[in-house]
Amino acid sequence: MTLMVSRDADGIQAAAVELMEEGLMRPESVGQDRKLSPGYYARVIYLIWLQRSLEAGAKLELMADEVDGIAALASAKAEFGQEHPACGNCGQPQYTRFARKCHECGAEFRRQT
Amino acid sequence: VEEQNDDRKLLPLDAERIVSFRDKGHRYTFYFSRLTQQDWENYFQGIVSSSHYENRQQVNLTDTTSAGIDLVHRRVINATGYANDFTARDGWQTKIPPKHANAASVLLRLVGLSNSNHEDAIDPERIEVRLDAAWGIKAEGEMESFEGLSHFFRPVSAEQQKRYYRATSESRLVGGSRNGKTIYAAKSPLLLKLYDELIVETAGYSFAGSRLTTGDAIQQMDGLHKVIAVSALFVGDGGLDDTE
Repeated sequence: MTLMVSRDADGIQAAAVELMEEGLMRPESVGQDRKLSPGYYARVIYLIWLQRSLEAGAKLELMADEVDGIAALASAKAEFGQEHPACGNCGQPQYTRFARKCHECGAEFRRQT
Repeated sequence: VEEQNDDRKLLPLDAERIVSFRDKGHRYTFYFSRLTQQDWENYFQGIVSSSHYENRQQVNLTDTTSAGIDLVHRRVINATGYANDFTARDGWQTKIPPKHANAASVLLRLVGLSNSNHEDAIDPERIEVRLDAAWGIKAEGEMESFEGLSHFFRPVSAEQQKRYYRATSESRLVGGSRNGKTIYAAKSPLLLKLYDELIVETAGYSFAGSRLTTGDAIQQMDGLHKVIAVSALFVGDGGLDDTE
C-alpha cells in the first residue's frame, strides 16, 4: 500500500502534536519516540514554514493539500492546547493539564469548580 | 581555451567525457558521449531516498549507485585497459565489472561546492555559487580538475522558495503510516527548472571553443552542475566563516 503523506491530514495532525510535545522534552529525548513515519515530520515542518510565510505577508498560491495541511496544524494546536494548557502568567505550556503549579514561573493554578 | 581575465583553463562542456582510474596496477579509461540534461534527468529519477526507523533511530538512505551504474551502461562508448579486445564483444557495456562501472560513475559526478575564497564581497542581487569539478583527464589514471566555476543567480522569490520547500516535504509511504518506509520525491527536476529561472551568468566554462554565454548556460550547462549549484541557494549555512 502506498500513501501520499500530503493527503493524510490525520497523520499530519498527529505528527504536529508530537512535534509540539517534543518542545516540552529534554533536548536529548527529542525525536526518540516518534510514532509516525519520518515523512510526516518533514511535511509538518514545511507547513509551519508556509504558515509563517503567509502570516508574514508573503503572497503565495496554496494548493488544496496545503490548505488541508494548514487546517491540520490548527487542529493540532488546539489538541495540544487542551492537553498542555498554557500558564496564565508566563504562557508556558504545561506538561499535563493536571499541573497545579507552572514548572516555568512557579505560578499556582486554581482548580475550576 | 583560455579565459580573458586570468590564466584559468575553462571547463569545455562540449568535450568528450573521459574518466580514468587505476585498479590493481592497471589503468582503465572510459569514454562517454556527451551527457545531456535528459541523461541526468534519467539518473536523478533512478535515485531512491528513503527514511525508516531501526531501534527507534531514524535511518536515512540514498541509493545513487544503481542509477550511476545505469548511466555508465547507457552512455559509455569506449573503454580501454581491458584484456582480449573486450569492447569488440556484443553488449560489452553491461559486462563492465560493477566496481569499475561504479568507479566511472563516481568520477563522472565529481562536482561539489568550492571552498575557494571570493575576491569580492557578495552582491545579494547576483548571488555567486562556486563549484569545483573533475572533468576529463590529464593523463590515463589522472582526472583533470577545475576550481572556482562560478554561477551567478538572481535572488530567490518567495514563490520559488515555496516550490523548493514543498518538494523537500513531498513523500509517499510504503508499508503504513507508523512503521512504513518514507520514500522522498525527487527534487532534481524542480532544481533543473529553478536553475534555468535564476541563472544570470556563469564563469569558468566554455562551449564550442568560446566562453559560455548567459543564453548558452541554460542550454549547455551540465545537468549535474546545475543541480549542485542551485541547491546551494536553499540548503546549509552557505559555508559561513566563523563569526568574529
